[in-house]
Amino acid sequence: MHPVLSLKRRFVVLGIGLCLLLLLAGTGVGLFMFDRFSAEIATRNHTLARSLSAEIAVHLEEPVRNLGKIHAEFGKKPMPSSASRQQLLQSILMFDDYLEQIQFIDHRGRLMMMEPYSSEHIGLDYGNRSYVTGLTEHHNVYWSEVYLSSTTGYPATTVSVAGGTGILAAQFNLAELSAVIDVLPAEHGGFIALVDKGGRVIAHTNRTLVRQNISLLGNRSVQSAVQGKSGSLVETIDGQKGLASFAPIATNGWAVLVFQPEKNAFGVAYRSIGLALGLLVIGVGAISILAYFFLRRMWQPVRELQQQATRIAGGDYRVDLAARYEEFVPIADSFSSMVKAIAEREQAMRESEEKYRMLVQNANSIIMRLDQDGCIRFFNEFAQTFFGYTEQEVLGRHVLGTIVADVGSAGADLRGFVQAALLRPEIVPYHENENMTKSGQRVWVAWTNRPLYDKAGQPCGVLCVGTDITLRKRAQDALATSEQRFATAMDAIREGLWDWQIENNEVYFSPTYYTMLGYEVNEFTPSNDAWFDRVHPDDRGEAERAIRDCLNGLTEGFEIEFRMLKKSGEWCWIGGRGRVVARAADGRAVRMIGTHIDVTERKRLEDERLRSQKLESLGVLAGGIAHDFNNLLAAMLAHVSLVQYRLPPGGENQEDLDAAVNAILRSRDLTRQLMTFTKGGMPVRKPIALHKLIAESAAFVLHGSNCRAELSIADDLRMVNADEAQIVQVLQNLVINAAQAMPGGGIIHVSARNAELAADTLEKLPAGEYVEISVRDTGSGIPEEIRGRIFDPYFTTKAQGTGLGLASVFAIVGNHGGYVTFSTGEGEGTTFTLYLPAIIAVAEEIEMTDRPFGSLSGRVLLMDDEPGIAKAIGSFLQELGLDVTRAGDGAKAVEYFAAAFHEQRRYDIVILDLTVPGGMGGREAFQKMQEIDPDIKAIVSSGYSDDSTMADYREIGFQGALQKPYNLADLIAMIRSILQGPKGEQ
Amino acid sequence: MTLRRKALRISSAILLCLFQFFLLSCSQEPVRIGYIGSFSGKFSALGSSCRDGALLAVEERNAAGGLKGRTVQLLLRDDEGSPQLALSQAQELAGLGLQVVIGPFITASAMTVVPYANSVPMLTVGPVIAGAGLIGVDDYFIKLYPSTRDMGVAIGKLAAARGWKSVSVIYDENNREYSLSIIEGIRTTLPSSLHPVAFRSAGAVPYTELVRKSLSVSPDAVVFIASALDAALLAQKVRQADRALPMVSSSWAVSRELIESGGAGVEGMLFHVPYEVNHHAPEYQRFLASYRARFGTDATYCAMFNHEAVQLVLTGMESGARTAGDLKKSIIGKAGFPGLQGMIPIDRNGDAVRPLTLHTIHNRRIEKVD
Repeated sequence: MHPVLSLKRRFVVLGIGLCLLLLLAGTGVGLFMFDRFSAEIATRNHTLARSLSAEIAVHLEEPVRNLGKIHAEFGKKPMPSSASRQQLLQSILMFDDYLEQIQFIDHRGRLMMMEPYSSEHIGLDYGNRSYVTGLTEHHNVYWSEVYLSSTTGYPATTVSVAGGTGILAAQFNLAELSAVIDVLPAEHGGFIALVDKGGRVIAHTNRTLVRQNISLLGNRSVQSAVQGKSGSLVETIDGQKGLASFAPIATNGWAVLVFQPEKNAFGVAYRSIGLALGLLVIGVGAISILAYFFLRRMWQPVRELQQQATRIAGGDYRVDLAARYEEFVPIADSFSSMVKAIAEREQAMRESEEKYRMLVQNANSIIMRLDQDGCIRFFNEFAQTFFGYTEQEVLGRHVLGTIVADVGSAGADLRGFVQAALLRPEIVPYHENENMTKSGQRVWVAWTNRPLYDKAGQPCGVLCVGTDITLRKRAQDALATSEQRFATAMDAIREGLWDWQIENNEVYFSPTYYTMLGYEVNEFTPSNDAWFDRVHPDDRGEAERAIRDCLNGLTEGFEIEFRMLKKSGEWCWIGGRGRVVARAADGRAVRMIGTHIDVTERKRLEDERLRSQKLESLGVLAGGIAHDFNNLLAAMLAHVSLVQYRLPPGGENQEDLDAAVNAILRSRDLTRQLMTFTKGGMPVRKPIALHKLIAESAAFVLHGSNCRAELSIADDLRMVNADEAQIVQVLQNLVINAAQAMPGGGIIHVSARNAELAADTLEKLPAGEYVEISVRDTGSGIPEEIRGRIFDPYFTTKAQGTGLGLASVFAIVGNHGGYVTFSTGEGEGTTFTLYLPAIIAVAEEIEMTDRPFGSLSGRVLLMDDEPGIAKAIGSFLQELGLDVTRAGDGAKAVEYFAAAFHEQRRYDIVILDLTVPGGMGGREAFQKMQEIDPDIKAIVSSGYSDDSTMADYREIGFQGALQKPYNLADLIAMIRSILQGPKGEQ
Repeated sequence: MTLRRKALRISSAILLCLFQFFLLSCSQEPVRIGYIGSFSGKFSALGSSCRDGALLAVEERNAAGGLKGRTVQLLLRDDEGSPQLALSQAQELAGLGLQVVIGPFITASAMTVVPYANSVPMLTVGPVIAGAGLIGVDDYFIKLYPSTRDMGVAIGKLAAARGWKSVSVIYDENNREYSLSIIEGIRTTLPSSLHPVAFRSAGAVPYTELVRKSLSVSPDAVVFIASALDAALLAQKVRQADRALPMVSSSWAVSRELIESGGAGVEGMLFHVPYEVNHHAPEYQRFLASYRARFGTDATYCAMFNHEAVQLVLTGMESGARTAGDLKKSIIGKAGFPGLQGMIPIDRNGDAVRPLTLHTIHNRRIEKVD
């Protein structure tokens, strides 16, 4: 719909516009004329400046010409006499009113002649004067700066001209130039000035200023003029704005300035333009008034027509139009016909509307009309009944807050939706919406919307027809909630669900089903084949069989485990369960549902447990064998040692016996190694120095190999409280490993130093003093993939390896309260570093090798359940001079001990085997003996180094501990130290 | 509120603003400073240069926003070198209500103007007044130029330092007070061997005779107290008679004209001036450049001292002083002000304390003697 315009206003606007246009045009013409006028005035002023410039140039040329004449006379041959020349100067000065003095200066700058003559000056040096220094080869005429003459007080200048005989300079009185420029008419009101190159006033229409040496260089016009420019501009000089025209004088760069105040220069122009504009305004005003009265009269018939139309709009169809003007008669007739037609159509419309109202009000649907703002404009009877509102209550109110809540019961933004639908109803022709009755009850309505347009085609509202769908909606919600709950439950138990419609072979896989296999949801099409293809070929048969049995009704359900291929290419173990949930009347299975659960981790743990159990059994077996074997070795060692002792030193059999002892000792080491990790053998500790131990261990292992050990052991290396044999075992294992890492041979760097570790330096180690031992090879390094497993028991990369070496190292060092670590890089070799707690105290080290067995005296009670050992050790001790009593178990030993004590023949030393199968062991026997004699001195021996008695023998009261099989030298050394007193305690 | 009433209120507000603006404009009258100089007549060459120095200072200040937003106006008066005219102009300026006048240019005029100004009172500032009679008096006269007597003392000390036992002085009787004051200064150091020779510059000067007379006593040096032209020509005459005799001039003659008219005769001439001709202070160099750009010629010392005089007066006025007494207190109270070549101390009598610096002419240039 076009906006309704006011014809009257249009007339007024048009009138004002025309007046403004007229004024604008008048002003434009005025300004144009003013511009032309101003240009004309400027041209006139400038012409005056230029003509004055030319005239002054003529005046300035006169003295130059005269000086030229003098030069010509002076240059004549023969040269005129001095008197003649003086006379010539005198005559020139006489006839030239502008010249006050003439000087003749020779080329050296000496004043040779002057008129008026003054003998005081002749011969003086004038060479520094500007009119002498200013002359050059190219400028033979020079005009000095203007100065005020000391004689006249008026401006003067000195013009000099160079000639062949010297320089002629004349003082040029410029006072008369003021008369030259004094040509301004009285009405001009401005001034004319002649300025030199520095802007100094030479001549001025205000003569007073001429004597004051004023500079006008501060003005733009003068600055332009002395730069040789010519023109006019408007500027303010001495606080007065005006037109300044300027023209340079070509002769010497001076300039003429003609200045006329603005009011004088442009006064006529201003007045003319003002008058024209005034007349224009008056004319426009008069036209406006006349136009107003004319239009007012013309408007009268229109006003009457308007009044009639207002009455008709109010329902009064009586027409009374009397046309005053001929042009309005047809309009009045047409108006009467139109009013009649309107009255008839109005009646027809009322009838039609009644029919329509009946139809809508009796419809069995909600019918409602909204305007564009969302206010209810129609609400049929059904709607009133449904929502509980009467027509009076609801019409004119917004749907929001009446039949629509701002927010739905599920949190939906209904306000936003309604506003969007009102804005563009065509985009929501149908929608289901939650509504609200007057009582606040939530109801669901399916709405059909149709936008309404006015006659101009503009949207003016929405027609909404609604159907009650509350019951259906609630049923849908209940179903959706149930499905959601089920899906949540399945997700929570991390089981994948599958649902197989057997008849049409449609399969559903739940999201967890996919994610369990590493896929995105719906990444592959759910089907029976999709499952089957991913099952491990070895497991397919069993899985198929279980499913088939279930389908055939042989089983109620199935529960199987099989492997499935994950997206990553790995296999995972799936626990699958399923059952038939629907069968046809003939018993055919039509639907089967089941679940998948990932049981890979459980399977792995089961495997590990199985392997662990196997290992444990193996360990027990190995430990038992090792112990028995150890006892046998102990007996063998004792016997061989006894034979060695009995044979003369250096005899022919000694070498073979040494080899036998070494073989036994190596066998002993092997069994200890086995026992160490199978039963966690606890160390039998004593303070030991490591210098020799390290050197000997490395040398022993590398003997005969193609590797060489390079040792770097700190002199002040501290001692450690450790099981010597176990430490040797650790060192040897590490050196062996290093040697094996360099099959081509090389150098193994073994270093040892004291280290003070702060807390957190090494995991698991408390802060304190440690001995750091490093074994470094230059081999190929340990591959990254096995670095995490090298300390695992039975893990080996060697064909002949036992997998016990590094495991033993780790266990032994750990049992000593230390820690072992390593650094390696492929191709960079490997360094194993172990830390053992250092001790400050230094115990005496028993130097067994330096001490001969010698003879001993005393009584010894020896208890060992192994007859071979008891016999060999006993014989040996006896041969050394000791009185030995042997016992087969603890009880027997206690009996012997008690008897001897009571008979005052007490034993000096008791040697007790710790473990006696089926009898009293060494510890129990010792406790009983202590009860008899608290001063008992006893040594405990055992093949089970993991027994706490061996580790804590001192706390229990033993004087020493020997781990079987032990060297007889060690035994003798221990016995000797005990017999000799406290010093011998270990 | 009807549209008509609203329009009425807006119109009233606009009218009120315009009225206030009008009142404000009325209150911004220019700050007026009187200036009496000798732009025409015998001293016009130097006098107009003095005036231009003052004008430049005013123009610069106005370009920078004036004095607290007010335009500074210099009311120029030309005494044409006449003490009587200077007095009548001082009276006229006092009649206009002015509280401060810069000038006059010559000591003779100052001797008539200053007593009158003291009686009004009206503060007078003499940029280049050197007469000794105005020094050391607590009056309404601020003297920015050292006294001629001090210049004489300086010449005397120079003579003593150089071992001159006998000195001839050729002086201009037409500037008698100036000349005699210098001679008196010289006499304090050189009491017995001083030979004054007077002349009058008003007529034809007998240069040859003056030089003959002064050299007849075989002096160790000759001193000129004369204008630039006279000193230049006398120097040439002395050189013609004695090529090596030391020559000293009063600062009066120090100008470009001395070098131009003196030629080779003034080479080596010595003189004391209360400034350094080739000082490197940025303010001084900026002043020289501005002067050159504004007036198309080089600034003289007189232009420099007049520029400083305007700056001094404006600095005093910045404190809000409106009467001659307040202005005097304000200027003296600061005990100094920043000149173009550094701080210039002012004593309690309003006399600037400027050191005299010995210069000479060498290769047509004025140079400081170290």
